[in-house]
Amino acid sequence: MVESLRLFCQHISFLIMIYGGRLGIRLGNSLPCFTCPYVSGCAGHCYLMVLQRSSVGFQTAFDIFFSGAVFNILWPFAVFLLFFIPLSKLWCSWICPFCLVQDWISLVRKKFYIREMILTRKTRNNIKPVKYILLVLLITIPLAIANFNLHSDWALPFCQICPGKPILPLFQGNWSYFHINYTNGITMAFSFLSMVITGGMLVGMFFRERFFCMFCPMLALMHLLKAISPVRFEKKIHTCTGCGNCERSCPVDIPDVHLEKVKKNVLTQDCMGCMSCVEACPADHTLTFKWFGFRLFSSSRSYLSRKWSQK
Amino acid sequence: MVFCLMPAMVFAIPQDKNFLYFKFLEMKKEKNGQVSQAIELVCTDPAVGAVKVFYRENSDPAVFFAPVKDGIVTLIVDKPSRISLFAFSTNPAGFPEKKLVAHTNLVLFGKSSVPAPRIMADDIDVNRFAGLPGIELLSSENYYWHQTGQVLKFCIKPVLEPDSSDIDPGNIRIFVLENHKIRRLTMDGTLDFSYDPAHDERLRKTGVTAIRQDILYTTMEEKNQKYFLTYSLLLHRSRKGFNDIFSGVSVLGTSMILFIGLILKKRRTPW
Amino acid sequence: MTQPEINPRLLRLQLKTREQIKKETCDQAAKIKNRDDYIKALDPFLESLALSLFPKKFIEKAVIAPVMTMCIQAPMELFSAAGLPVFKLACGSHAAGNLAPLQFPALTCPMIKSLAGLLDPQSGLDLTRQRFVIPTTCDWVVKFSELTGLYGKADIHFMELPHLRENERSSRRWLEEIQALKSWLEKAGQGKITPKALHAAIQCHAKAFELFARLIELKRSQLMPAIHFALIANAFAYQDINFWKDNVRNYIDNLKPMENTLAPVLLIGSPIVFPNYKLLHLMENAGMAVAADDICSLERIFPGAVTFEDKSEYALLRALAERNHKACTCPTFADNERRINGIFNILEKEQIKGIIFHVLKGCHPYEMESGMLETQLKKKGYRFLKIETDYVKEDEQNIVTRLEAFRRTLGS
Repeated sequence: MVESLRLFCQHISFLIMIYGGRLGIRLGNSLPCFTCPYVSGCAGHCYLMVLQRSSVGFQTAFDIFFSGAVFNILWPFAVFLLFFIPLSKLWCSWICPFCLVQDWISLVRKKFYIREMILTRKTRNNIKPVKYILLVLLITIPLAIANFNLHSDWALPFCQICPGKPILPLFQGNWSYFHINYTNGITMAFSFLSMVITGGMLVGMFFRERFFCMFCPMLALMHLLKAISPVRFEKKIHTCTGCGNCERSCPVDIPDVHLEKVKKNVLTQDCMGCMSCVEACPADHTLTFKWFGFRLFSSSRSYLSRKWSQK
Repeated sequence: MVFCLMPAMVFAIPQDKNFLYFKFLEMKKEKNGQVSQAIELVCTDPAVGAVKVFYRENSDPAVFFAPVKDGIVTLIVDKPSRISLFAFSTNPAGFPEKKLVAHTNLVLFGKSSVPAPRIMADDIDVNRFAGLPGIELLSSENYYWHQTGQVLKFCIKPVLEPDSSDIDPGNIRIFVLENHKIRRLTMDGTLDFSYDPAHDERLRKTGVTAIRQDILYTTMEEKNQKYFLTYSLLLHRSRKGFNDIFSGVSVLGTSMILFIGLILKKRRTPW
Repeated sequence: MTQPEINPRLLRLQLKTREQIKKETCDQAAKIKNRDDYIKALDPFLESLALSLFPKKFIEKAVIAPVMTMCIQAPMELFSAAGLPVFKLACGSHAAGNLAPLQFPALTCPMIKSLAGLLDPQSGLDLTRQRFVIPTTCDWVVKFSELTGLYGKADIHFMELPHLRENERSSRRWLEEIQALKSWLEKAGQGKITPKALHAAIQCHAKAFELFARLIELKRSQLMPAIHFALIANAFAYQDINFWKDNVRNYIDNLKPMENTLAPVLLIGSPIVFPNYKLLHLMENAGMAVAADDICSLERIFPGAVTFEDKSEYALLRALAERNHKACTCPTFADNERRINGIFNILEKEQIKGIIFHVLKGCHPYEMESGMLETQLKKKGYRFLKIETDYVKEDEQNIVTRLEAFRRTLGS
């Protein structure tokens, strides 16, 4: 079953990403997933940090962008593309360690038969721009540090508030990131915000699957680049009966796949390629994940009846 | 060679001791990806003689010569480099028996395909200075990002030949010019000593990249030679010294309770 | 309910009608048993369906009094979880219609009419002690309890079906209806329905759906006759789920291979309920096999697998609610435009060229949709035939002539 395969991949990648560095695995610092640099001994680093850093990211003077040194910014981006292009958003649900952590937290809720928190489509639509706003901020704030004398304690603004920073190091026994930094007002504000966000996210992740992913700027970045990836998620419009299984089984309750009546491409901005909707679709070959035109996984009535009689 | 005359009241190093030390100036990221660091060579003695500056990069045993222009040394790197920088003056005018040694370590993160200029040091010069003692910073936890509030370990040993040391620790007295104030450091009868720089309000407010420069200095006599040694220590503010885990966990817990309350109150009706 | 004084003429009519129903049932059973493809494994289904035409007997035989329900919107899993058997209010008997109250309009849905006859108060069935679950689908179903005089007397739980499926408000309202049904069943049944019991019921039905999907495959590849499929599908609403599963397994094990010589067609439209298999027989006679259908008493009697996110009560009820609402393509919905997609899906997959649209006279929702579907299907090059009929036998010759003509248009 696809779900079991996905969970298997996620667990293997979690072990590699979080502990791989200790075995000598070095995947660089341009990975399209939340392999947090604050985890010592991890196999690689999340590209979002590079985006915010000086020299290799946007904490760079404007004149550097028009010089040869721009190569230092483009090179990590090229590496990021190299990782991102073949798998696109499959990185999220199949590789990202933070995604697995969220799945574990949800699993605890499920074990206790606690219901999920339901967000209306309106609320979800209101949340959608947040990830883009975060993406813009994590680019503009470093630019402002380098060019407009913004205080350097604003550096790595997203990393400072990302819940991955305190949560992921827990897996190597480091809980020191659960702190308030009293160095000065800015560090205090950031660390306070980090703790509030982490608390909110932990609760959110418990009551709702993949809660953090709805705000993830990496997902926003990936979505902006989805056109150059060979991964496609297609819907046969004329065979969908609108049963709504796809929306309900989606961890982030994306309604677009269910409601789409015109466009073939249904890889929406919040989609993370977990394929739960394909597994739940009762219409044969109506939802299909494709890779370079090859069919990765397609919906089928018999798969559905087999899977759900065993669940 | 002309050196800056630094008034004693500014740096507070006793003027009569004729110390030579490095003062860090601006670091610049060049458009081609190279990184340059300007370092001023300061001597409190106006009559100082020939001064030569050398450096070593990473673990490379080769010694490079750094030219001094208007009292300023400019180091340029094209790759991430850990640099050990030395300045020697063996012939201060009127005091032929005095030898001045300045030392520092710094890390520069260059990244360029344009190779940085390097001049190999003259072997004769290297041999002349090889046995001179200097203050050496032993590697520490944050080896390139030295912070206030952190215990740093030093020792006195020949700078270019660290394995051959016959220095007598007997009468050595170590001082540090810490944030414009002189403090004496204690030695435990060996050549090793440690220094724990105090936190600095200015660094806390200024930002994560702000620096303070402390100077460790000593004079010592060895085989009828008088040595005046300095080490320029670049310090940043403490990264973890002001972190309070109890407050963090309290805020986290409060936030979780608030969010749980909010969700439990509202979850019966979809948002 | 007090027994009114019985008119001797009415009494005679009742007795005669009952005899006719019995005959109708026996005729249909005999017709099936006389077929070359008949196998013994069909008997349990036939017996249950024969009993379904005599509700009094059915209820007397049941260990626990069943809940009578109409249409397919009330999730069967909830009844199972409550430990309550179900008696589906669906009837294909022409004779039963004779007992329908006189206040029924002239052009009444034949199924509603025959159901009214089946629940005739003079049949000895104490209707005041019966429990009904009625989702408000078509107008006939909505007015059924009033027309039959059940309203205000019997214990009826209405489920107000939102006629929109794609907006959130409707989904929420329907979920509330499902939650209300659960509470009602808890009172009517054996106490609280726990999430575990509900999950167990869902799993049990999912296994039944797996078997049903196998049957659909067999039918679509014409390895089993459509009549057999109709029997099994119809009987599902009158048998204990585990008993039904055993019977289906037994049927699949004993199924004889058959020759595939008939032209495959898709049958859509009004429900086909035992013993009214008139159209199925006529289609076979005309050389066509119902390879697939989109009928709520046949393939759609199982609305599909329940896909839930977790095993909390809310998630399970939501999954049930949406499965029986969003996934349902009943023509009573206002936003039913995607029903055609399901039809296209079957046509493409099974490579079927012809569609027969079955409309029961008086079944307005299907009647209304037939025109729209005809236009869309013909535009895509499919052959379309609308058969408007009721439970009478007199129009059989006429229908078979039209079917034969239609068969010829399908080619070899």
